Amino acid sequence: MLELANVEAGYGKLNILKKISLKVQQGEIVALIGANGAGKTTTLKAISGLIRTTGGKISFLGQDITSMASDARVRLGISQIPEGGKVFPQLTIMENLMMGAYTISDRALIEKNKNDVFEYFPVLQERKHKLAGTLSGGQRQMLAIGRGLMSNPKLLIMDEPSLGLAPLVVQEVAGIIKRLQGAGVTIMLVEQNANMALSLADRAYVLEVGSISLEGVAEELKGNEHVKKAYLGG
Amino acid sequence: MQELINGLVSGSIYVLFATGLTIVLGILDIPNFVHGETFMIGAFTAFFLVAGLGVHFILATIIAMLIVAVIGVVVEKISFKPLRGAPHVTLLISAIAMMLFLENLASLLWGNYNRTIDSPYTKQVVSFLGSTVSSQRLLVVLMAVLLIIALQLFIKKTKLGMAIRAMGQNPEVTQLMGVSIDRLTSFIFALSAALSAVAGSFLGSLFTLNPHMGLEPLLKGVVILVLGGMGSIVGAIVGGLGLGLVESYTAQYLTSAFKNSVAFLILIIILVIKPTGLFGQGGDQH
Repeated sequence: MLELANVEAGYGKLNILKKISLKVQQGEIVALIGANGAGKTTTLKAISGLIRTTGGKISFLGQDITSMASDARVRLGISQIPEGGKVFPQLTIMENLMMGAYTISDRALIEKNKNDVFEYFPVLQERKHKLAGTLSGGQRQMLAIGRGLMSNPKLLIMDEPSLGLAPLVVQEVAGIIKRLQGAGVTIMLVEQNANMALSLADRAYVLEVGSISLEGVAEELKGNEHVKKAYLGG
Repeated sequence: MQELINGLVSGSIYVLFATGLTIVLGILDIPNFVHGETFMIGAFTAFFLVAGLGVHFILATIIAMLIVAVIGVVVEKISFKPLRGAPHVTLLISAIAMMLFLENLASLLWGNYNRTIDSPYTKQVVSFLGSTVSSQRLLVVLMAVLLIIALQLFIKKTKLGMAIRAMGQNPEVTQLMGVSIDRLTSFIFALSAALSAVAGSFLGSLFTLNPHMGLEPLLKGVVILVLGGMGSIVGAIVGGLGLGLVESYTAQYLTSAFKNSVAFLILIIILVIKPTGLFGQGGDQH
């Protein structure tokens, strides 16, 4: 579904990604694990088109999207949920969701997506006319996920969905991710905290200083000595 | 009474001008000093439509808004787009270059003398709150009120307006929603330039226009933004009307020679007492 082949990218003269290759297949949950500064965010920016790549090729659903504008990628079905539940604090919850549906003009479809989101996160419906800035950290993360679902994504990319959340909320978010997979959404999970990511994912990649150092079935990576030591806290 | 009306009339022009300046600064974080020049070009466009082609003043103003909107988009592409993400100082230097270019081009093309835009309402008078006022001046206030209400409704109620508000809060996440930043930036510049053009056309119909008319409103626009708070439309409305009234009363009760310096006195006082302005949200925004 999504394929990165020898992708290089960075900021100005600083090259951060060094020939990264990875694949996400239809219906999978794929985890991308890495420490702070390993290049996770840069990889995501390259996939969503927020930065230009300097080498390699990115394709989605068999189409070369390497030089496609970011809004066109959203229209193709790539939706990215930014880290830390970045919502629009001065917009209401409803407006945040409508921003998620920006690329959709079919009102009936927007209505359906909205009802789906409210079904996943009832708390958002209760507060739909409140400003998003009034929500707690966990609720913001839920709103960010809900907003990401409004565009009918084929591929949902989640940047650190567990960051800064209480363990109970992390459990809840993990449950949602499983349900989304069941509903046919392909998911790419980007995490620093490998625990949740590896227990949810089918396959995983480990990113270290701009290169993929390990890849494989998530269960196997969980048993890998290096992964245990570096990403699972012993 | 006459002072109040004078103040409201110039205040209305300031509000239109400053609103355009403030949306570009607040949403795109660009100090668009070319705003005074699109104001000047708006006045000249309306003038030539009225004087050369005999177009009615109101229609000429609308056409000027559309033409200048396009010029605003071109200015963004030339002066600011290549510098996206650059520090304010760099943007400012680029803006000043464009400002000087347009001012001198206008001076070369159209000559350094004063003209006035003809309007059928200038010679009509009406009685308003016990004073005699030209219909043209009332028209300016009325159109300003209507335009600002329309702008507020547009930003609050439409999908595009929502995207504009979202962009002011987080441009990167707005992009992740599938909004084309290039197209939205062009749109905001078009809107802003159109507001400067209508202000220019109004001013040119009540007073005079010449190629150098852009600098004074630009400087006052900066004062209004500091007074009202950077990027706040409500601030631009209150600041613009406030400045118009203060100037008018100064001219009446002190001396008209002091009228134009009062804005800068206000600037100094605000910077000392409340640097974030009346409706500003503080320095943590950008």
